[in-house]
Amino acid sequence: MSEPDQNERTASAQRHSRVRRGRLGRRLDATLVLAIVLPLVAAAALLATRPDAWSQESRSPTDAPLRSQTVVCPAPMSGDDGIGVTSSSERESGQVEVAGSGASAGTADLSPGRVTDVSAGKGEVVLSASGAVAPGLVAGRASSRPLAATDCTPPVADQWFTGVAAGPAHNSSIELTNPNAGSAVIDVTVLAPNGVMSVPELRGVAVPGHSSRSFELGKLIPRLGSLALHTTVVRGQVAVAVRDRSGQLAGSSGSEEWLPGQAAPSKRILLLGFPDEGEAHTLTLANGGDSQVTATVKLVTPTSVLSPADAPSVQVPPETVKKVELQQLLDDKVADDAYGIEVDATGPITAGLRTVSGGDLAVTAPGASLATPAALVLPEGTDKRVALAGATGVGAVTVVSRSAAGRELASKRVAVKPQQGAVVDVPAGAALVEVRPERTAITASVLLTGHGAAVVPFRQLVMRAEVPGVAPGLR
Amino acid sequence: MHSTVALVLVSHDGARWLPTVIDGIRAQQAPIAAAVGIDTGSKDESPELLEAAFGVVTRTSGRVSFPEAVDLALDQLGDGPDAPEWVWLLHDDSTPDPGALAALLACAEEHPEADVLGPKLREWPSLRRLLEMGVTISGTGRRETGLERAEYDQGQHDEVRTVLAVNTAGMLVRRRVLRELGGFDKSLPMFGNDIDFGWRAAYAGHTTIVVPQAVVFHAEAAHRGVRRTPLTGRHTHYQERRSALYTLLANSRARSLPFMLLRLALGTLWRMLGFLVVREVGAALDELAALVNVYGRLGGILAARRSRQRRAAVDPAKVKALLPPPWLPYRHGLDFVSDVASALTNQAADVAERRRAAKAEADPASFAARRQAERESQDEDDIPVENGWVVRFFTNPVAVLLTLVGLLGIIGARSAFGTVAGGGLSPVPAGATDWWGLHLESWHALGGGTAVPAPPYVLPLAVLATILGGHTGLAVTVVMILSFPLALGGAWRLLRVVGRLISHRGAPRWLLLWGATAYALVPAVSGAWGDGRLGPVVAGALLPWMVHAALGFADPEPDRRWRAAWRAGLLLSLVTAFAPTGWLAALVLGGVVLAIAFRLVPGSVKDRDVWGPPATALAVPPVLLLPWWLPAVLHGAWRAVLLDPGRLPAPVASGGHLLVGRLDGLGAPWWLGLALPLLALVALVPVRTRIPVLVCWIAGAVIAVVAAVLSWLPLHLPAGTAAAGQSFALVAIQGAAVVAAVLGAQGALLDGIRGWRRIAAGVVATVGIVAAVGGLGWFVVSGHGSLTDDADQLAHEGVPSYMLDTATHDPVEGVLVLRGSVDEGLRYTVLRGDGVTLGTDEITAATPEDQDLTALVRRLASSPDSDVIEQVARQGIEYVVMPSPSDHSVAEGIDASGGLTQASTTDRSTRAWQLDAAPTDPALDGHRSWLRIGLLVIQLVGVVVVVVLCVPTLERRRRR
Repeated sequence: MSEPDQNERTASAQRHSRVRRGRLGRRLDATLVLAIVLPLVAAAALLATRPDAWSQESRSPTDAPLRSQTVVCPAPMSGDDGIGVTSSSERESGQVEVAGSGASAGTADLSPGRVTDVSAGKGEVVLSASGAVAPGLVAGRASSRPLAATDCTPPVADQWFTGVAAGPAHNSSIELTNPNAGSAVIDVTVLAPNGVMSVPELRGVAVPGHSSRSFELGKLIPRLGSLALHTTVVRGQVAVAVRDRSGQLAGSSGSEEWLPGQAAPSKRILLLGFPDEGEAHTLTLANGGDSQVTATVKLVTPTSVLSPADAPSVQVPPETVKKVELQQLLDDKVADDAYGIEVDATGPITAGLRTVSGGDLAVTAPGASLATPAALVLPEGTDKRVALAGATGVGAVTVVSRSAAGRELASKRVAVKPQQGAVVDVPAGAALVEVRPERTAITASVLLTGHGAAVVPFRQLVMRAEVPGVAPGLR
Repeated sequence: MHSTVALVLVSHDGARWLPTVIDGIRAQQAPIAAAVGIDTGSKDESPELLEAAFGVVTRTSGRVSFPEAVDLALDQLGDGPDAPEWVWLLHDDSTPDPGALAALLACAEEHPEADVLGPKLREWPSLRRLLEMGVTISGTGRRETGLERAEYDQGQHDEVRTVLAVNTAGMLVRRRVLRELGGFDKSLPMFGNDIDFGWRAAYAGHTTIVVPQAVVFHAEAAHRGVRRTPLTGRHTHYQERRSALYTLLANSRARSLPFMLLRLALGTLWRMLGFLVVREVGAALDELAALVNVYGRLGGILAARRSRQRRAAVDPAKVKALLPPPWLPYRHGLDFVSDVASALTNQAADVAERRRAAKAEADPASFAARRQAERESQDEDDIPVENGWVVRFFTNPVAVLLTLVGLLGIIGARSAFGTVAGGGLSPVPAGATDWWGLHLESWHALGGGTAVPAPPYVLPLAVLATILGGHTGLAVTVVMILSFPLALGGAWRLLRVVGRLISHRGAPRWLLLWGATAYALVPAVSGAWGDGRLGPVVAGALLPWMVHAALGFADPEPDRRWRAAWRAGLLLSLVTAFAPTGWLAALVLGGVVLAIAFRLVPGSVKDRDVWGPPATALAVPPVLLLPWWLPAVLHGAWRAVLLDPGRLPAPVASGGHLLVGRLDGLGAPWWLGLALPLLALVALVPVRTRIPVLVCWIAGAVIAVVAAVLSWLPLHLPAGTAAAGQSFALVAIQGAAVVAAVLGAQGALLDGIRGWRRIAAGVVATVGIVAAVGGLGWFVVSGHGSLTDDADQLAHEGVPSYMLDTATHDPVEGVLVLRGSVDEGLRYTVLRGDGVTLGTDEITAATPEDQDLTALVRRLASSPDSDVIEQVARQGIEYVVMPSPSDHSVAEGIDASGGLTQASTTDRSTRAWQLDAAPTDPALDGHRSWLRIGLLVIQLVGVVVVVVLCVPTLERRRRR
């Protein structure tokens, strides 16, 4: 091998090695940079990874016109009970289907603003309206001697009846009506002063289609003391009516009255309207919850809600019923212009007020808070007084009374505000009384006086149907 | 006295062998009375060679067949009294051993009953391997020699035997017999005329024996396709097969002829399939052509049969004894299958090994070459100690530990034995046919009827269940149980190969054990296994195998790269079927890797064999999964393409969850999952393995970016909003971390661990071990998650079973299920058949909302009347159910509507009704879509083609 050749080769080798080192250096740098950059890129990507967890949007219900409505009038007290029916909603005429054991099946015509009489005998009457007259279907049943009146209500799934009894002097009965073809099942829970009573006969009561069943508590669970009933419809629809009977009252062979239901226990209860000259006022409180509740009784007067010094404060243990005599409180001078009682409790409770006046029984049940117009069909020829209270804001209420023929007899607009209600007298000839709250919700009931007394609370009329938001589900 | 022998040599372009052959003939110890040379139109110097040796040579045209040439020779020998007694046939590519003729004649003397004698044929040029010791033919037309392939002659078969036939190369036959039998059949110009001749001779009462003492070396030039004649053409296989069919049909017994005809036809189809599977399309076509040719000339066969029957002289049963036993073809079939299987496993052998070998070949001075030579010399010197596998197993702690880990994984998965469902796993349908139906149908009787296609994983599950005898439950159990060992084995294999790419010794086995364990645990400790999420479970089990296959893209041999492409494509399709976003991630990753590769080696862009395989692998899944994604997109359910399999709602994984490999709220303690990302980060420290570790980091980062982009894409389904599937990202990121950690550890070990590094290594090792052992312990103790044995109720939660018992009979008798309340909204579903079963979840979830049905349900819930009820019945609904807690206001409305009857329920708060009207629904059947049928055909063909292309190339074809 020659010299120059050797030299050339060495030079070339050096060149190569230089190049290699240069490349290596660059590569090392590059790997180091990548070793820092790549974890950062990965970390950034992971930080940006924010998948949404599974979510289902909740679909709130929408309103739609009511297409059909059924109200049930309980069996009459005596033979001469009449049923009046109207639809307070549309300006349209229509027909109402009449069924039930208390009436021959048929139809009755409804015209706007008029109260139609439905001839009815002994037994419950089911009134079903569809189409334009379905919204605001109102019916009432009343007897005059002694005076008793009730609002015919749609079947309610869950309600409370407080202040019933199963004794000889004070007895109650339950009437269960199934207005539909399919059979229905209802549970009735009985609350007694010492707790929940086990009444197997009232658990899972099956009511066959288009029929009615009644239970007399005095026969079923004879005992002394006040009770409360909690009815829960398990299957189908059942209209529940409770009749409260007072026997062996002084100078009378006994008196009966319907006890309206309370939709749900509440912390603030308004019992509006009771006969002024009552001889006995008994308030019954029931606590269906599982903790003790303290209830305070207040007086509702046209100007304010009073808490008299001697107003009783009552402890109601869980799942018990407590009876409070209010005679003393209401006989007080402070209570002269009181037309209602407010019960404020530390927890949700239910209540009912029994008044015996002139040998007749009157039962006051909590009324619903009305935000929209409500109406009652009432017997003509009795004195009527509308008691308003429990306004949720400053507003006004118009009380309109009409004759059975639809003629407006009176219309009075009164201002209301929280803690301040009003009492509005209604002409005796009124067969339909409407209450129209403005800018406020209001609780209202009608005190009827004639041959005895009766109190009928206004209920929220069912005008529209709630259409649930419907969407496909997973499974 | 020696019998007279005439030599007949037929040549055609045999100049390559003839000099040796002529030498062999000249060297014969026994005298040859006459020699007749026939040349059939040779284009080389064969005739001259023959002339030089034997004097006169008869030259004929190239179209003269071997039988005709032999007839010509016989004519030349004449029939006179001085005509030789024996004719010794030789081919131009067969050279006799010097003692061959003598041995044949000696034997003929010893066995005077023998009319045809054959020598022992050995391979030429190896001279050692046995070719034939007499031949016979199996019922399928296979030439049977009774020898192993390439068996060495060690005298193991050296006894004189009576056989059906002997090869014409070296055949010594009485001239008289040859004349009597009419020579060789002219219908068999090249191949198989020896068997036919032997068979005819046997029928005629002649005996054929093989004489092992006589040896002839045969090059089998025509058979091996070394020599082409106008008679063989290019299609040797066609000629051989045609001869075999002809021989069988012409010689078989009359009563078995119809059966034979049918069997050969079916057998041909079967063999064609076999040839197609190993990509021998030409051979498959040859098979078919041979069958058509023979069956198209049944007249000729019948004539041949008649002529054979005229000469028949012995009991056919005697001849039958010379034929091979009837089970032989099946034995060959079994051998073939095992051959393919072993080829497959060999194919999967180390890509690293082959790269080294290629490197050694390219550069003999390289380290790889030296190393290889060193090892080869070692291998020859070392005599391996032969131990039983039991001993070898128990003396290998890593093997014992690996098995233990696998067993613990199966124990952890014990809740999957028997019936399994729960979490994201729906109960299975009754039989595999349900899954097949789901996959094949264009229109599913689910809900209100839907054209949304079944999810892609239904097909593999259906195949698995069918293999398992139609047991769907067993199929899911197998998947859930075997996923862990499968992931473990795959990860082990992958890490071993990856380790060897770094250094020839590979990563230490205990490191592989750790890596495989840590990886196999990912689906379990993430909580996906316990929640019955098939996506991460199956994708996790298949991913290492897929990556292993994808390493084949780096194989030095293009053919292997293409095999790797099809295998990786098939596995990617399977992974995508269970984790649909996997394909997307692979696509992006493939793009990035290819871009980097082209940047580094720009020349490779032009080489189709370089970029083709990865591109093919990425193109395979969209084709194989065509019947899923295309109809889904067409029917407004494109979101299903991004959904992971399993019940909704599915747990999601945010970035943090992906980092530690957990699903939200599930799995082992999250801090255990910190180990893998931490180790992957530390793995960047050793310089020696930094580049391969960076490759893992690139993969992890790309997958993370894809996951991040997908996470911003909420999927608005009719029933709610779901997140895009993250199964693939979950297992792939963890997998990349495991590989990075193993590589980093290997690099650190190669660099040597000294000084302060010892402490650091100790800490790192402790972290790794704690994570793996902790994860395994967690899985064994409490990995069962929400899986349950009580699967039935899950198919129809809250709906009384008896309603679906009825519904199983007829899909028209559906159950409308209403859940929720008026205040928060009602959700409805229509259950049919078994209820919601595995494979139907995704269809129902992705089916676009049926507005009419929703409106109808709204009417049912708000103002039902008899008209509404009737319309509901017309939707194919028999029951309406409101599971507890039912909304009373809706229930009482339905109660009041009429047209329904209360249906009994076990739970008082569940409300149920039976519709009085008989359910009907014309929308539930029919709707056959030709598009879907076309797509299914494409899928079937695609699967077959891909599977065939996955199969390794057979060695003999590779050599050719």
